[in-house]
Amino acid sequence: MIEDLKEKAKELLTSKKVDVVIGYEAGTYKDYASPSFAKTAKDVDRFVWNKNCVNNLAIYITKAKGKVGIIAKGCDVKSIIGIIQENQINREDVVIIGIACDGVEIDGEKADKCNFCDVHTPKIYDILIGDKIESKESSQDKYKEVAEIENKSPEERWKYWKDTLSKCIRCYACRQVCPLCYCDKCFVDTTVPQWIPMSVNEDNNMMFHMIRAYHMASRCIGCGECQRACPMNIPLNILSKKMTKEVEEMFGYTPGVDIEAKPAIQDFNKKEDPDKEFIM
Amino acid sequence: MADKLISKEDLNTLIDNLAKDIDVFAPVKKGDMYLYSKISSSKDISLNGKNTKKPLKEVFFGQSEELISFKTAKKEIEIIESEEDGKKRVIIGSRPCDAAALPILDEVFGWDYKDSFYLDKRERTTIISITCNEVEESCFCTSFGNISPSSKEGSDLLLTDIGESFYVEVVTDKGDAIIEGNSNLFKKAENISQKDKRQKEAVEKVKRRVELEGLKEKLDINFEDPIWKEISQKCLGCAACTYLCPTCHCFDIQDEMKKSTGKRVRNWDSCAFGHFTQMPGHQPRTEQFQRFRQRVIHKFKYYVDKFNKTACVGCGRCIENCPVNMDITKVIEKIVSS
Ligand code: SF4
Ligand code: SF4
Ligand code: SF4
Ligand code: SF4
Ligand code: SF4
Repeated sequence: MIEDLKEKAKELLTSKKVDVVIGYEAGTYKDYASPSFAKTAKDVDRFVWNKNCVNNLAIYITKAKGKVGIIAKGCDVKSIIGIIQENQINREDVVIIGIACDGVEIDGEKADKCNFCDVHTPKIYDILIGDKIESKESSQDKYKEVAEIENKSPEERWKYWKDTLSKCIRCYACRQVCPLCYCDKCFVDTTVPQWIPMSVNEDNNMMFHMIRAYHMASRCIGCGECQRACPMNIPLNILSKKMTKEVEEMFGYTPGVDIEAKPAIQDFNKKEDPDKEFIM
Repeated sequence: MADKLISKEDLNTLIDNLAKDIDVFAPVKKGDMYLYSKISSSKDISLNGKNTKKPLKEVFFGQSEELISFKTAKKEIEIIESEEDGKKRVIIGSRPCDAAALPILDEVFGWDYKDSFYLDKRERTTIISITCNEVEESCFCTSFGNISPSSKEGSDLLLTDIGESFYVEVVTDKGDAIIEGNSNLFKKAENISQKDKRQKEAVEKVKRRVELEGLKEKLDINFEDPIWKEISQKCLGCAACTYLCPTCHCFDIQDEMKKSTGKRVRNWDSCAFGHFTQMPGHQPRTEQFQRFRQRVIHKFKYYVDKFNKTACVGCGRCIENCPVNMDITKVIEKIVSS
């Protein structure tokens, strides 16, 4: 697979179809692969593909200049779909080197998302590396942790989130690593007006996470990068899964599936269906 | 100031005794990580296990520290100074790298403007460090001449686990005062060979190393080098590496108002953020590579120029916590060999 991947990446660069190919190289810490940027065929020799290739490289396509080739797993492609739907890049400006992926690991353990993967073969791609892998219905409940929180009493739930989010140091690794958090100016960074004071405390932390969760509703594709990036081990997946579940139930919309679909957050067409709910 | 021994049981007694009158901070296991916390009993402390997630600096330079509070009424403003309780404090079980970071912070907080909030806490605190029992894959403290898993830099006492007891090395008068005040718990030192053995073992466990030779000379001249763009490319501009770094010390002071009352709070800030220094009007580093460059050059050149030492102690937190595996040791290697 890796030879095929390298060959295709080199072809793209030597034929000048792209200016850069974003892939993975061996990391230096634990079982880790690290993002890698190849501008020449020679750079491509650094590339690896293995269980450690967990990072969602789609974060870099909104930052890159020129035409970009990107190595993308099925889940990463979901976020590329989202980015294109939201007009942040043009489909023509990105060459998706999709990878048939049967799972990645974080610190030697299968990543949570891979237990529920429905995109072992990416939804869209320009080049596919590896043989197509069929996705089977998962026997596990994707919303198990969400249900556990939902089953708490409001007081217990409030306490749970207060305690959990009070650990947050507002380093914003979760935001920075998120391919859909591409805003030039995030609401937490504005100073006039300042929506959230800079002080780290339960209230401010809670505000940050609640607003971010709303901003991600119908947009988060569940790559799990925020939770992986969080140095304080805050289970951010639960928040995003809850929003995904709500949006699925209320609007029948699942992000990252159909590039032509209108995301629930952009869909204000109440005229056609007067009973339809607005997301905001 | 002769070395001593203290049995494990007596150390617990010491901690319990101290906690009655003064504030004792120690690594405590919270969920799946260790954090410095105020403890009331020796039962809460974890002297083995991983290094703390947040560095020791937070005990002196908290992430959000109230400097003053105020009330407004019509055109009058009443200012209320924040009162420190003035209590003596002890840290037990700090890692030698974290302790070594304190003299680095002392320079910045005490150089021209004397930062009373920081310096007062420093003055009141005795640091009892411990030779590392566990070493992480990310640790590279031994790359710096004066730091190791058993170095004394920044500590007042250094404990080394030699089985039934801790071997106690006295570094400063402050450390000695703890022994003087609890002399019944300390015994005459013996088993120095066992201590030396444990310390040597700990040092040998540190496998990561970076050659700093030639780095400063490179940084003196490579500000405009295209290498910065290349090595920083994957950096996402979060603050995991700077907030969790024991020597990073940037802050932003903001007033936070609620109706007619408010407080002036000092918060950790990071040069990695796009809006860093925007508040006073201007962010001179508009691109991520410039911000990344600032972090490296500050630690390994600007600070060295000013205070004649490096502002990194090799704790490895920036490596361990970076979501894209930015490895400062590899960055340094690339710069040196460029
Ligand atoms: S979710 Fe699917 S595509 Fe994504 S890493 Fe896991 S197995 Fe691969
Ligand atoms: S990564 Fe974690 S600690 Fe940092 S801002 Fe996000 S939730 Fe908070
Ligand atoms: S932790 Fe990593 S990604 Fe975040 S600012 Fe530091 S080097 Fe960049
Ligand atoms: S730069 Fe990294 S290794 Fe050095 S002291 Fe800071 S966090 Fe530790
Ligand atoms: S590296 Fe950045 S955050 Fe750390 S002390 Fe220097 S300027 Fe401040």
